[in-house]
Amino acid sequence: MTLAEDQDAASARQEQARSRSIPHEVTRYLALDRLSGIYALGVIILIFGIWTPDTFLTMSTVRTIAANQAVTAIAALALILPLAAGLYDLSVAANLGAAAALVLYLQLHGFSSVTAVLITVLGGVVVGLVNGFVVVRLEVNSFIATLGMSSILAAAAYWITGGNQLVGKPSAGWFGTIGDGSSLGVPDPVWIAAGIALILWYLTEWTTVGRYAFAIGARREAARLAGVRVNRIMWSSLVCSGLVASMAGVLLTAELGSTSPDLGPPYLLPAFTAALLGATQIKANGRVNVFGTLVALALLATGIYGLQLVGAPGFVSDLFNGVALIVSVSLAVQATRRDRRT
Amino acid sequence: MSQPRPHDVQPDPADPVPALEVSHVSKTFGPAMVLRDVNLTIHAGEVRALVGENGSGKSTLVKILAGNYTPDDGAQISVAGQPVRVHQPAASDQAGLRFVHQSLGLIDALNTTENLGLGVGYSKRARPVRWSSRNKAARDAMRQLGYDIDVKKPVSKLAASERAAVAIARALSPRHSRARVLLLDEPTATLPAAEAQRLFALVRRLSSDGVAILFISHHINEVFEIADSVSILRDGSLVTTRSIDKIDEPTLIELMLGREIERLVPATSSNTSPLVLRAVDIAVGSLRELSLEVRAGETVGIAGITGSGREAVAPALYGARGRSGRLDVAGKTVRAGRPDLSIAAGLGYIPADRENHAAFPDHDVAENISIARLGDFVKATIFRRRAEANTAAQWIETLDIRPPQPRYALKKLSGGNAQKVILARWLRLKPRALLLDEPTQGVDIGAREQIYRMVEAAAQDGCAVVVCSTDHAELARLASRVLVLVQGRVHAELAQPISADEITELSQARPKGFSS
Repeated sequence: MTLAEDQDAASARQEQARSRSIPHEVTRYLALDRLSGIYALGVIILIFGIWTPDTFLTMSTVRTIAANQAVTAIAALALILPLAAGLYDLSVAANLGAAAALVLYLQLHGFSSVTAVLITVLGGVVVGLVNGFVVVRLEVNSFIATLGMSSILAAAAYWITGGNQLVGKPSAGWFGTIGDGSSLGVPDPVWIAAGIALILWYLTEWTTVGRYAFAIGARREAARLAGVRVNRIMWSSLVCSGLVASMAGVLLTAELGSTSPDLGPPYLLPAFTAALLGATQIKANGRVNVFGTLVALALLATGIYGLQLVGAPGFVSDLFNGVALIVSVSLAVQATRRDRRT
Repeated sequence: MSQPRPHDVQPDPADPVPALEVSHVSKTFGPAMVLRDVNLTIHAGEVRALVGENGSGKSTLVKILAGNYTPDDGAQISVAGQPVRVHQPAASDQAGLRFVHQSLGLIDALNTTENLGLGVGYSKRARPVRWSSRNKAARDAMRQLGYDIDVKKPVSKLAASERAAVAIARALSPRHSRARVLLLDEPTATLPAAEAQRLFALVRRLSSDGVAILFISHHINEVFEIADSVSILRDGSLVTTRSIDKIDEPTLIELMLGREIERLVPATSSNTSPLVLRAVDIAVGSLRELSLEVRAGETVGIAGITGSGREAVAPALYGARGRSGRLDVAGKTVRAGRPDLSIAAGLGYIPADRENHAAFPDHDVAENISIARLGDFVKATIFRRRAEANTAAQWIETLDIRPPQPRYALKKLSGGNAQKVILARWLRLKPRALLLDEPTQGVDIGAREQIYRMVEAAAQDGCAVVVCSTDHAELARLASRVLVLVQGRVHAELAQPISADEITELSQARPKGFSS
C-alpha cells in the first residue's frame, strides 16, 4: 500500500465522519437500551404516584396528557420520514402555525369547514414541495432550507391573522367536534394522532419507501449508486412532513376554537426531542421510528405534567425538553468517542 | 539480480554531512516484517527518487520519517548530522523534515495566504491578523518558488501545479527551523503533463537552493527526468541506490519487481458469444477515450497507474455520474447519471470505495444485499422482511459470509465478508454485466479467492465482467484480456496468457510522442 492510498483512506474516513448525518448519529449511539424510555416512564409514574397520588394517579391525567400531546405527537410524526432520509425539516412547527391560522381565517371568510381544511392541507403539501425543490434541486442543506421556510411561514401566519387573535368557532358543527369530541372514551384528537401514527408506521416499516429512506439517511451516495431514487424519496419525505404538519395545525385550531399568529414555533423543540429521543427506543438499530417517538413523547409529557401538578412553574416544559435534548445528544457524542477509540 | 550497492552515490565532498541519514530502520507489524534494515543517505541539493511496487514498504518508511510510526529498535535517523527522536511528528518537523502528500492538505475555500498561515499560526495572542503584510509575505514566498500567483484567490481556483506549489511553500515555510529535506509523495499523480513540467522546474530550483528532495513516484519516466539518484525498495528491503545515469529503465523495473520481464506480443481475443457491453468513446475526468466491447462470459481487465484513467473506467461505464460517449447494454443505449436505469439495463457495479459508495455499515447484511431491488420482496403492498432474510441466507451460504446471520450489522463484518455482501447484492440480480473496481481492496486472502471464484462462476453463467484493478496479479488471474491505460487512453491490449509483470511494465510506459 502506498502512502497516497493511506492518505486517501484517512481522508475518506474523515469525509465519512463529516458526512454522516446527525440524526443518524444520534439514533445510532443513543441505543443504550431500547426500552429505557419505558422504564423511565415507569419511574416517573412511580415518583409522582407517591408524591401526589390523589391528583396524578387518575384517568384524567391520562386523558389530559393524551389530548394535550396529540398535536405535538403529529408534529413529531411529521419529522420521521425526513429524519429517516437524513433531512431536518425545521419548518414543521411554523407550518403547523400557519395552517392553524389559515384554517380558521378561511372559515371566518365564508369557506365551509371541509373546503377550509382541504385548502389548508394542500398548503402544507405546497410547503413540502417548495422545501423539496430547494433541498433537492437547488441542493441547499435541509437545515438551512427549512429554517428559511420556517421564517417565511411565521410571516405568513402574521399576515393571515393580521397579527391578532382570531376567535369564533365556525357554526358548521364538525370542525368544532373533532377538537373536543371523543369516541369510546378516547378524545378524537388522540384517534387522529393514532391514525397518522399507523400510516407512518406502515410507510416506514412495511414499504420499500421506508427502507429506501433509511438507506439514504445512512449513506446518500451509496444509496444512489445502489439504484435508489434519492431525489424522489427526499422530495416525497418533505412533502409528507409538510402535509402532516399542516394537519397538526388544523387539529390545533379545532381544539382551541381560536388561533393566533404565534401558535406554531413552541412545537419545534418537543417534536424534535420526541423524534430523536424516540430513535433510541423500541428498535435496536437506532433508527427513528413511530413507536419510539410516541414512547419518548409520553415520557416527556408525563414528566412535565407531574412537575406541573406539584407546582412547578409554566416554563418547566421548555426546560425539561431542552435538558432532555441536550442530555440525549451528549450521550450520543460520548458513545461516538468510545466507538472511535476501539 | 544486482547486489545492494548503497555507496554508488558518492557524497558531495563540499558538504560531508548528509541532509538525511537513515540507518538500520526496520519495522515489524505482528509477524510481518514490512521494512528490513533500510539505510538511506541523501545529501543537500540531491533529488532522490524512491520507487517500489505497492506493498514494498514505501509508505511505512515515509510514516517512520514523519514520526507517525515508531521503527523497531536500533533505527537511527539524523537530519544534517543531528539525530532525530523518531516517533514524534513534531521532532521530525523541528529537525527540518517536511512532507507534501499527494492529497496536498490544502483547504480549497481558503486562499493562498490563509493556507500558508495554517500550521504556522497568524499572530501571537489575540491581535488582529494584518492581512496586507501577510499577503505580501505569501506573494514573496510564492515568487521565491517561481510562481507569481494571486494569493487572494481561493486555492480551488488555482492550476493543479500552483496548488502543489502552495503546499510546497507551506511545507518549506520557516516555522522554527530551516527545511532541509522535502519529501514529495506522488506529487504528479493528478497533474497533466504540462503542469508536471512546472512542478519539476520548482523541484530543480529547490534542489539548487540546497534542499534535499525525496521524490516518490509510480511514474518511472518522471524518475529519469527529475532525479539525480534512485533508491529501489522491494519487499521491505532497499535493493539498491544508484546514480540515475548508471541505470536504465528496464533495469530499474527489473530491480523493482525482482525478476526479469518477458516481452509478450499484445494480442486480441476473438469470441463468438453475444455482445453484452459496447462502450464508444467513453470519457470523463482523467479518462480521455475508451471504446470497449465485452461479450457474454468474457472478463476484461483494466490496468493503469493512478491518473491513467483506470480509476474512472468502472464508474463511467456504470454511469455513476455524467460522462461523454455512449454505452449499450445488450443492444440498448443506457443513459449516464441514473444508476437505477443502469441497474434496470442489467449492470452491476462494485465501487472501489466500499465504505462510502457501497456499504450501509449500520444496516444489516440482508438489508445491504436487498437494497438494489427491494420490489422482489413486496407482496400485497407489504414489504416481507422474512422473504428478504431468506434470500439473504441463501447468499450468505453461497458466498460463505461470516457470521452467517442475515440480521447482523454490516459494520461488524471483516472487510472481506463485507465485500462479499456487496457482491451478493449484485449477483442476486443476475446482471448482464458486472463492473468491478478494485474488487479485493482491503480483502483478506481467503475471501479474495472466494470472490474470484464467484466472479468466474458469474462469467461462466454468461455475465460480462469488467475488472479494474491496481493488483496486476488479480487481473492476470481473472481477465481473459487486459487493457492497459496510459494517460487516459488504451496503450496496449494483452490476451491470455497474461503475466502480472507484463501489465506492470506496460502501465509504466511513456505515452506515444512523449519525450523527456
